[in-house]
Amino acid sequence: MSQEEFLYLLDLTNKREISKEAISEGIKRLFLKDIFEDIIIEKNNKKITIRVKEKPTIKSIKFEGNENFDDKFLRKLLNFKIGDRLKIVELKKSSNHIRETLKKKGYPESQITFNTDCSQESCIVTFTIREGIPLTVREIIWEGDVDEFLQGLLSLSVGAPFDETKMEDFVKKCKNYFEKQGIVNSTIAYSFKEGKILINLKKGEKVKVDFIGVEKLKRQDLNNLLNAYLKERLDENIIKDITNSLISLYYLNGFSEIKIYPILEKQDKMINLIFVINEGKRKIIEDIYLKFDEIKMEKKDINKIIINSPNSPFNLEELENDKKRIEDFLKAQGYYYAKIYQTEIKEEDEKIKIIFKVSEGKQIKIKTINLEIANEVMKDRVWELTKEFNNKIFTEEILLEIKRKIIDFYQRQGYAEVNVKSHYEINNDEAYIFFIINPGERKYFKKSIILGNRKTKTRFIYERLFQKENKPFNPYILEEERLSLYKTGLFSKIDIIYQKQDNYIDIIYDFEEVPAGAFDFGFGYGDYEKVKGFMELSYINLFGINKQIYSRIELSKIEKRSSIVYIDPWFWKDLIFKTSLNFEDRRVKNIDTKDILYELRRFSASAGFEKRLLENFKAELDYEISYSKIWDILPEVILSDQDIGRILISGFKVSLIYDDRDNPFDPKKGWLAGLSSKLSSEIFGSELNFLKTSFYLNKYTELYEGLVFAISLRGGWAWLYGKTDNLPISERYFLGGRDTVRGYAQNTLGPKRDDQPTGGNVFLMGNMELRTSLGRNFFIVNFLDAGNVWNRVGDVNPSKLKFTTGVGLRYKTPVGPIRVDYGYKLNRQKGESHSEIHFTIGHAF
Amino acid sequence: MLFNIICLPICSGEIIDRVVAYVDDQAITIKDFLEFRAKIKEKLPNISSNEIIELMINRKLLLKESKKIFLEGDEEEAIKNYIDLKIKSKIFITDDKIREYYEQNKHQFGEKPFLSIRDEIETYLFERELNKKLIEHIKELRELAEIKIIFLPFGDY
Repeated sequence: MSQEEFLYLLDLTNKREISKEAISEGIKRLFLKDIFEDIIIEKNNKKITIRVKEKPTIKSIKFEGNENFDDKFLRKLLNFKIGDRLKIVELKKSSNHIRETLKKKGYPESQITFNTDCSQESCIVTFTIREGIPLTVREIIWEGDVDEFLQGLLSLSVGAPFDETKMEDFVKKCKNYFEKQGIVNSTIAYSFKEGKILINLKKGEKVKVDFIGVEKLKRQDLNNLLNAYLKERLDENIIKDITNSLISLYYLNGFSEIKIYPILEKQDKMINLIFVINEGKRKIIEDIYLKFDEIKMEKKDINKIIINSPNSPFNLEELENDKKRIEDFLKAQGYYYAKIYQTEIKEEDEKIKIIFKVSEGKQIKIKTINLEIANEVMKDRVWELTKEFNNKIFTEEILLEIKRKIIDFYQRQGYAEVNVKSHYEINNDEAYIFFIINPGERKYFKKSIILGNRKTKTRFIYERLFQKENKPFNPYILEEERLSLYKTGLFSKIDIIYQKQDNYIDIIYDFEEVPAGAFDFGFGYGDYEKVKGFMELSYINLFGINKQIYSRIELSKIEKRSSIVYIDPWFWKDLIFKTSLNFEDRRVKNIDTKDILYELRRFSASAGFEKRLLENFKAELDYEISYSKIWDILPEVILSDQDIGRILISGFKVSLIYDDRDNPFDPKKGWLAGLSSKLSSEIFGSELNFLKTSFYLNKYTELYEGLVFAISLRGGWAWLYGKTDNLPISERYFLGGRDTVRGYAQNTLGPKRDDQPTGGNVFLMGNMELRTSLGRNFFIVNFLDAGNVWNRVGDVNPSKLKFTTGVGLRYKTPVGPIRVDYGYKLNRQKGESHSEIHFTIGHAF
Repeated sequence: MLFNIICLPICSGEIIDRVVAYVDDQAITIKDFLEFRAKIKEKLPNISSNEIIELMINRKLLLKESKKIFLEGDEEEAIKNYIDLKIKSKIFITDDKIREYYEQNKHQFGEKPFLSIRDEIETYLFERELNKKLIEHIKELRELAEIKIIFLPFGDY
């Protein structure tokens, strides 16, 4: 704990009169940190002396005398760990826990004692275990329906201590077995006396269920419902519950005349449970009619809220609820007196027509909103707030909305205990609303107490808090803080507790941290790289202040990549600093001809800043430098001297990114759009002069549940200037492959020389996908891709766009879908293949 | 910790405040002690400092538990509500027990008929049971808490 935090919590600052009340409160605040055993505040003339004694920490934990239980097992039973502050109560609780566990494991005489050997700052805790003589199993006696399989489920053997946990495990396994076999009413009992375990197994009856008279519903649906009930027991009450549930299922499907008769037949170890079902006719709602006194209203809004809507099965059980739903709907429209006074059901050829006769009454409007505010606190502002509701349609919901607005307003101003009572009167079809408001005392923020952070620095958390001492208390600020702290990714739980002291409120933040380090690895298969793997090591709480480091290695037959990225999310205010070192070694090949186009080894580094301009909109500025070596280049794809040998590129890149997708791995709605421009120039030490600009615009729309339409437009252009005539092959654009135009193999679209793709300086591409859920995490995707690459801007010709269509299968995983796509060329050239198949992970866009 | 100094039993200057005892992460300061002592001495003039501290510890334990259920209200209210909910609501004095007590202690009641003192006996038995249960409950709470008396104030302290 820093001196700064200590004095802040103690509320002691220089040149301020000392208040005994404040000091006393300060001591209590400091104690909440669970660090101190004593704090003494002394005054000597004008000098204040603070003396403290910390609770010692636990330096090591030892076990003595344990013969049959190893230290690792015992350590798991403790309530504390090394580094915690010493608390005698926790030692007692742990001793009890060990004793109880050992007792259950067959050592009923076990005794546990502990002692502590403490220096000034730390303690060694020693537990002395006296296990005692175990209860040894001398014989296992089986009674009842002994079965070899069931006997095999018992992991206890003769000669071993009588371990009750193993007996409990045996009972559980037997019950699971009986349930799977459809056997009910079994009993499993055991006792232990003088070294003998007596196990009495009584196998119950096997239940055979049959449905007679089922024609229109699926037997599987009935069985599924039944299985939820058939667990350990079967008695009259359970049969009644099953029958009622079956009736409800039939009602739900339009069988309002359903009759079900359960019959139970017992034979030895068999129960035949037969449900004789008289389904009756299935009735479908043809239409519903609403007959109002005066008004006319669109039926489609009503249809959305009722169960018995047109074309759905007639559900007699829901008819009364539907009446209530319609009445509530009308009341929400201001028809305060709305009532359905008659419901007629007309049936013809199993088609149902329902006529609801409605007396809607007059639509009520708000005439006045009267405010009675204690001490008239902020009356003018509340008046302004409620003014907009005058003459609005009156509903119970609107009354609650106004009340919520008033409470919200006062709470934001520091009146945390505001009390608002409301009532209304309706006269001559007009509503008169009355609010009686008692704002209570205004409360102010006092101190913030940070607890539970072991790795994260307290100072870092203080810097992330928005509320300020002595400012009016506002619970909404605390929620914003909580959200902002969660966004750091450091915490799994943040409890915010208010501690009131007169008109001031201390805020206690109690944190639970997530492990800051992670290690991930994986293997995959891509049509281009074949087998590939990756390994990632990350730590997101460097120095306890949320600085982050990620290192990643990717390996495949044709590629080796590694990178180290360092991120400081709190570089300055909300400015994020990022820097990275990267290495890549790859062989780029023409997947069609299997020819190696070139081999590349590149070292690169970047450093830059990211700033969030709006909630979903951010800007990035990076400096990038790369040193590449290209060799073994196929002569056909050489466009200039710079395609061969070593090259240094240095420049700045600016990016603007908008992203409001609901889920980056599997978006259902939202936009992802970006524009980036990279300027490489001799001024920055680069051997090449160019300006590369690219953009992407992706939109995701959920048309229906489980059906997503995704569309994307992407493009890029490299403008060369100065002495640069051509981009080296590693900087040129290529299209074709799993994420671009899927009818073509990886990087094979665009300008070619002797059938080898050379890449180009301009590309344009569009993609459309219809992603349909098949259930159980499977999706089918229909797509249409279009795009091409050209050498120069002047060569761009939309009529030369290449179109491909296809279908793909996806399996959803937490890191994006595993996919296989089949792309088919729509304007195939002579000599080109008809189609391509791609395997990979993640959506194409 | 920058202030890792062991406090001497006798400090040289005037003590503004210090910790008298703690219950888990809740400190009881001299200021709290003096205020509570002044109040309690009005009702129990012969109560010792040790008894006062024990009483304060018990109150802290009950308050801590009560705040888990009753978020609103002051300390007294919270403790009262907690005792009502957790202890009083579970005490039932049956008619048989009242009559049994009456029969066993008939000599104390003289000629008074049962019905005339029934309520009085019921209140007495209820209070007796409440005390017993409260003591048991506090004992349970004390076993689950880290309690330490650091310094026992005497005289002005």
